[in-house]
Amino acid sequence: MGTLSREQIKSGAWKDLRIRRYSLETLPRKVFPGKVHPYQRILDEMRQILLEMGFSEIYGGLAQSSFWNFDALFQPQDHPAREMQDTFFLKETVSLPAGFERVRDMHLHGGTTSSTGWGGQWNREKAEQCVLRTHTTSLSIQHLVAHPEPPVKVFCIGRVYRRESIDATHLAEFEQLEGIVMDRDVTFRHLLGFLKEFYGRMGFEDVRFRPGYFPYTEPSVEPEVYVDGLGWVEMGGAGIFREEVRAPWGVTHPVLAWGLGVSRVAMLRLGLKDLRQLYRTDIDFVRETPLWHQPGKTRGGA
Amino acid sequence: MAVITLYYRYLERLVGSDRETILARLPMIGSDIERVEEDHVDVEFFPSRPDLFSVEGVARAMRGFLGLETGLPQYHVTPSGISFSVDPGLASIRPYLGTAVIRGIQLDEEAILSLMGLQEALHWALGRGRSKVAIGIHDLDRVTPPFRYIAEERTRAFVPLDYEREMTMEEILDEHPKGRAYADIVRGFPKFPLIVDACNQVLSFPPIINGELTRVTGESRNLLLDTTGTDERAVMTAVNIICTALADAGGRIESVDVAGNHIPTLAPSTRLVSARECSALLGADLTPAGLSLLLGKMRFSAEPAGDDKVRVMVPCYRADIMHDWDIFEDAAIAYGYENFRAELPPTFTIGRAHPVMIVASAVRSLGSGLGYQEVIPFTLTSEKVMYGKMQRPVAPETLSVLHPISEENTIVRTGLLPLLIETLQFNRHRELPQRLFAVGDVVRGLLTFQKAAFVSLHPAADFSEAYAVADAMCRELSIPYTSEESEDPAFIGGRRGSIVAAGRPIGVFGEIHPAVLNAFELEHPVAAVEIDLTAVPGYPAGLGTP
Repeated sequence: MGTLSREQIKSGAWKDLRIRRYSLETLPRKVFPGKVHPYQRILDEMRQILLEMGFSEIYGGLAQSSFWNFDALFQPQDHPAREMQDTFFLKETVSLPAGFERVRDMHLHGGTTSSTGWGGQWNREKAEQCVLRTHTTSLSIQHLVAHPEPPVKVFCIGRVYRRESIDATHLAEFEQLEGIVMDRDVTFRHLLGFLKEFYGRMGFEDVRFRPGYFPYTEPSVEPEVYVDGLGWVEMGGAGIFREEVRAPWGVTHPVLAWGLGVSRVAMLRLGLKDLRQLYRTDIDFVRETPLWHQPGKTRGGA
Repeated sequence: MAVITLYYRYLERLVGSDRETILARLPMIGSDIERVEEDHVDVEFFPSRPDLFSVEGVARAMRGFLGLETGLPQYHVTPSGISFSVDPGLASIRPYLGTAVIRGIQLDEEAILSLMGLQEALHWALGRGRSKVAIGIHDLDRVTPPFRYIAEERTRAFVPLDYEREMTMEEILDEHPKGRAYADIVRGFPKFPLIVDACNQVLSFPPIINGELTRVTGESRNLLLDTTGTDERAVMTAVNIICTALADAGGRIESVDVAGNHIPTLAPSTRLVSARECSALLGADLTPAGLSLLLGKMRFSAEPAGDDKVRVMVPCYRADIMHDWDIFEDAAIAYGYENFRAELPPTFTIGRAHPVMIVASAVRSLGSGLGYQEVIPFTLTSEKVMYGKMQRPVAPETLSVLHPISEENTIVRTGLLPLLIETLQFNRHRELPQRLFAVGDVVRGLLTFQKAAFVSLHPAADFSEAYAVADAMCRELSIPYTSEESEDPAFIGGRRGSIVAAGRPIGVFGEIHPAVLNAFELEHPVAAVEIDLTAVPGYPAGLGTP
């Protein structure tokens, strides 16, 4: 006989039954468990690491004013990133926050700091125009403005936008992971220490640091990790917020800041060649990517 | 980014070291090596360091960094006796003029290439595509001083570079490749900027094109530089960067009299910085003497001034030194990023996940528990996908981008359901059943908030499956709800429901309309649910607006 019935099990009739033997040669039917997307699992792993390191998570809107996306981060108004070729501008505008004049003065002449500022003009309308955020640093600075007293340790994983033509290695939108540490007496060495620890926990044992450039940090650093088969791979950017960024808001202690293009980690981990695969999901890719990923392993490969 | 071509032969001669040593250390001064070739290397430098956009500039920096020659490079300027006037009519057009005379130069092919590369990179980084600064370099011996920078009628004609016939400035804007490329910078002005000599011969129509008359060749020995623009600081920085590069290439720099000012001076500026502040920033223990030594390697001249202060002379070509910390970064580079002992920040804090992300995690656990696969669609989409194919009217608060890159990416998504159905379309050759969910950001006007959506495609997918999932979702997310007949045209009439919580519609479920299935090329029924996660108790209010 085949399947046992409830009656046969209850009554003891099973004792007298000839139960048919099934063959192990017949392979099992393939069932696919419902799953969190492999990319999301990597994002969750990063969130987990940062939460374990004592960072709190922040969240905010996709649309931001140019003021918070650029001006508050000391990006000059004539910076190429602020041209319509590079950034998705929106027709919507918002009014500027109280205290915007201090940011304006910082751009014009460096306010009350040792900075010369950018000089030139500073146009209020330009700051009011909204954009799709080009980095989540626009959220970090707003968090800092709301919490100017130490210590602050926050991070954010969110979608950011660049006006790029889409191909295998460029997307107009992708995730960015970024965060800040603001405290008394934190230094450049602490920034490097944090980066080493974080990349180590992500499975990248060899980390090196090169000088970098970002308009809102000084000093700036470009961390690189060693990946078998690829060599040194650039893994984002970091630095200490310029005084021009924090001074307008009464933030008097150093702010260590770092950002990471997480899609690059995901590509290495998942062995993908085309960034679009993360977002235009092939169901078979989700079905066939195992849930468990041995910690500390990256796939690399050319 | 500015990618500069460095020819080894010229670079090695200027640095006084071999290419292996130079290439090994180059990235640690702040650059990315793009391509290593037989006779040259292409290197990308940061936009903050336009002084590194020439072989001469790189060589100067590397001599310091390698310890071959430290401290402030010395540049001598003598008066040329030449004057250059600026027409007051330019005040509202392109007011600032920088200039210099360079004598005794002998440019071989590589030096000319370096100079042209420098000019182009400066146009990009300092000049913002020539609008802020434009640079012209001329063979001085072809023209007669004094020179005049004037606002001229648009009908004035001259022979532009690379042409043999005279053209009016208007014609140049319409016909010359450079004219067409940069016409927008001047088109709106009643008169155009022009540089002429004592005999009224045209040197340049800035920021568009030089005249053919003063073309620089390998035979040119004496040069006249003009930089014009709208920002005085940037105009002068461009002069300093070009003059110091040409001085390093063997030229003698002479100043020009512009309204009584002798330009350029190539004089350094001074900053008094604190070694303690620098040490606190970097986490290094630097004395004034130690800091001075490091800065010498970066071609500053620095000397202790008391027990904390250091007097720093900043070379005239450094456009990026705006603040004391810019100098401290150079100290860190000289110290060597590889030499810092990395250390964890001592800051103790307790981490907290964001409530919005906790809700999203709950949705993911629910979705996978129900046997659904998560997908992560793009947030940029089109009205066609979001509304047209769904048979839905365009929502009035749809957020459009001003200059979309393609027809597929014109708006930010206001819901997830159309994107899930589109994902089914991408997967229509994959095995059934297909059950997908997504959770993520959507917008309504400028407000960002989260939604979650579920779709199930298989031959038996129906209203009751959708209803069951909607009910499970609301129960598991603790949303007390009622359902009402829905009017959503994306669903089949009589097989659709609206989820209502606290008197407000927060979601929809049902069986997708066959016309929608046709639009997305699907051949099986689809049961679908979408819900607004702001209805979840505890979803934080007042978030997600700029």
